[in-house]
Amino acid sequence: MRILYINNDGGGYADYVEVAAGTTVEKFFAQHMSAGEAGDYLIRVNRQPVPRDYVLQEGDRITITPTKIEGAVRA
Amino acid sequence: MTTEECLSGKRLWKIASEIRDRLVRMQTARYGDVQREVGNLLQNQEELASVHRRLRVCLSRGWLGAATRMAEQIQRLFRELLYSSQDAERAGVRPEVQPPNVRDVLEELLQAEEEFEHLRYDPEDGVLAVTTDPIELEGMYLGDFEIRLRIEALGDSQHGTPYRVVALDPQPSARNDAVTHPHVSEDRLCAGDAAAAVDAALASGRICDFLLLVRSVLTTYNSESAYVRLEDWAGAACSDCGATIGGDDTYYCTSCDAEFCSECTSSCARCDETTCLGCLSSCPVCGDSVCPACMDRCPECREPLCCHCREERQCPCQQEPSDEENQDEPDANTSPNESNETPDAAGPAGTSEQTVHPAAQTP
Repeated sequence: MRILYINNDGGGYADYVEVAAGTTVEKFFAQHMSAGEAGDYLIRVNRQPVPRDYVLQEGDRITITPTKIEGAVRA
Repeated sequence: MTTEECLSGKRLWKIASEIRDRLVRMQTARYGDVQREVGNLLQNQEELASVHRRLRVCLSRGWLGAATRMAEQIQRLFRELLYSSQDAERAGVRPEVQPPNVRDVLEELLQAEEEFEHLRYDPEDGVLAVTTDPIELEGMYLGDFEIRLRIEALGDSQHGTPYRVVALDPQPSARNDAVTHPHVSEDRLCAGDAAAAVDAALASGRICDFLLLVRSVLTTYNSESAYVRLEDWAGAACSDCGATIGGDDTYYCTSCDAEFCSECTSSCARCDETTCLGCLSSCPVCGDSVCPACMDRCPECREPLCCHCREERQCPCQQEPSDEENQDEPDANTSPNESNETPDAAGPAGTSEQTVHPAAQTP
């Protein structure tokens, strides 16, 4: 099934991705953000906070936004 | 600032429409860039075709000189075609971001109301704003900040970034009162690692994502790249006396590159550079205080002296003997015998002690 995945970590791209039926949010995060800790991110599905065992549905919109981002002085 | 809080559904819809309209204009302008670059490319092609026709005429009539000039023009046009085609390609391959519909933007605003508790709008300035919780980084209280997005400035590169980060309970650094946060100076955030994601969120009308990203930067401290580091927030310590210094009272020694207060700093008498008292040394000849770069050595005796005294040959070893000293030496016109004096013989009154020429001494 197809969902909209918005990754605000890095480039901030948004794209449709295919996920297997029955994929939970926790599993989706582990598949797409394997290097990160879930606690360091705001995860929203259809703009709402959801539990980790929420099962993604066709057409869902999932957003993953880091809560720790380093700012910098302009060069 | 006239601010509307507790925005009604109607007002939110109007704001969402404004944002969406602004994003549509932004994309229209982007397509305008593509059109302009392709226009330049076509113009170069037409010119190439014209030169090509003229070259054909020159060859048919045996005008080799003119044909040479046509060939040179063709070479130039090939280069311009290459540049203009590259420019057109660059304008055309920018990522396509479809403007969202008004309902999507409205949902962004509703989500922002939940994530930040209060979403405010100033209709006079067209500014949408949210307030963060009070921010404390590594024990340093910085207060709460308001993230202000000016809708009219979305996508308008002439006005720089369309948002500001304003301290509502300013705790500016002692070193620079324009810095209210390690990554905020003059109400402008340096987004660092979030810059690309912030731009993408704004271009897509994902207003809530934009606000969350800015908040994430404000709640994270990057000591490697801060306008003012937290350890210097209350002011640095003078490297000499240890007094707290900040802002205009900070002086940098150009020799050792450390920071000092005004009491521990002076300037080099030669080059006038700011130098700490520890780096200044006194020229043994003239007594002036000079920096290490202006301290030199006598080329003859290698004793230290300032560059000015060296240039002026002021070292004592380079000085000519004085007239008084010359009186002690024998006159070149007198004979050696006339200049001999026994040690016990008294000289004329008022004269200095006389020396015996070594050559005149009897063994």
